[in-house]
Amino acid sequence: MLKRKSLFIILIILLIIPLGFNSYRKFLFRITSDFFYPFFSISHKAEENLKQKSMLNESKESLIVDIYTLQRKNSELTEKSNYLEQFKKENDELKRLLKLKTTPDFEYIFAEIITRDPIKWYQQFVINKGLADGIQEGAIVLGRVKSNKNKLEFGVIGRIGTVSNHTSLVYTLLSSECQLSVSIPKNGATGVIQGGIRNSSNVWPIINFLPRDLSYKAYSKVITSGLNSLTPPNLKVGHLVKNAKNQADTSLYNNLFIKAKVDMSVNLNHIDFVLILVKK
Amino acid sequence: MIHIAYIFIIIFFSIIIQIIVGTYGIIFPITALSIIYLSVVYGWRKGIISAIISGIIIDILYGRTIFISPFTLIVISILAIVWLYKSNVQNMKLQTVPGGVAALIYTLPVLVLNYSLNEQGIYLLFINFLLLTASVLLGAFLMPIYISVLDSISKVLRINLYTEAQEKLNREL
Repeated sequence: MLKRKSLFIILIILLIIPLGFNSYRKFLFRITSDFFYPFFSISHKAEENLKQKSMLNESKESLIVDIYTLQRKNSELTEKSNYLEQFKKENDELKRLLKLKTTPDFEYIFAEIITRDPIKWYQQFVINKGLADGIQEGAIVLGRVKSNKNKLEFGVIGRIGTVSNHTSLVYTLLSSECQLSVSIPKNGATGVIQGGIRNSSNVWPIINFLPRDLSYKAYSKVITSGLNSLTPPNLKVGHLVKNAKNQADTSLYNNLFIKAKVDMSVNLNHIDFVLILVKK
Repeated sequence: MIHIAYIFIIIFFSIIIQIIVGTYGIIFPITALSIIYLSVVYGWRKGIISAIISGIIIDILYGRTIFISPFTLIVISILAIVWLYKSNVQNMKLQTVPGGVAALIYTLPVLVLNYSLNEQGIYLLFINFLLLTASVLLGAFLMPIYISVLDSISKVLRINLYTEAQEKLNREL
């Protein structure tokens, strides 16, 4: 009887103790999320089907108008893309002649949220693309910018944390697991976003390690610095938050650096889909 | 063998339902209710093992770095045994109590941890209180229904019933 009890306790310890190790958690995530993926994707597909079926309720006229608008937009975007492609080639050629480092090419992968923790709603979520679709650990995740309804613009949401064959865990800028090097073009300061805070309806990632000898103005644009090879430069992150004195909400840290709050450009409450930037 | 398969199916479906509903922002503590059911019907050993495994799977699928669910579910499993010894498991209305308490034990620690690490202000404290209340009410409301559904399946399969757990325990004693 005593032997059975001790075996039972050993089993419990063997199940719980290894969870303290990050690599073990990643290993378990890969196995369990791939195992459960078909079941979660069923509900996701059902939701998609329902959305498509609801389109049948719309009149033929309105659908035709939508198709024409989309076709027009599509041709405009294709033309714009071809034009920019030429510029890129020209830019790369000039950089090559001047022996400057060229910026790496990135591929955009479309993904949708498959599961989201109601407790850590603003910190992380799981998407329906993984290693099989070319997702890389640490890749940047983009979402639609909140203010612009008509214009399609994207801002940084976070980074890919752990990847399994069919799913990936995304850590948002609010999560302490996500670190992103950013810069403020207005004064040239560079810092690192390491987690953030939620206060009432606001979610604010925090930039650390900003130089203390510079002045920071409210609403100054925050963009990616591109110091990391997995992150292209100049991606929209947000802007500095205003405090009660109409200045940027900053605080001195260790008497050495400045910490600043950022208002994210993407609304984390309403993410329809995300784009993952993967290095080619 | 049929018991193990039945336990596996219950855990499996409760995890899937909890995670799918959770994706819409609702804390749906159905795994906690399953742990009560399994602990009362199959005893504390199977209850605790089910609690640990389902807790680990939920936390992993959500991508949590701090594993709290296995511990809260173990506490729920132990309380389910206390409930079996001290109360009446045949009265369906009374089963709202373990349902509500299980939801409270399951939800409160994760909310407190999340608030202390990532949130600030009275407004969010109030929101968390609302989330907790909704979860407790959901747990209390669902528990009798859940027991009835699982017991009717068990009846068809001719395996142990929740409502007969006390009689079985008295016979063994």
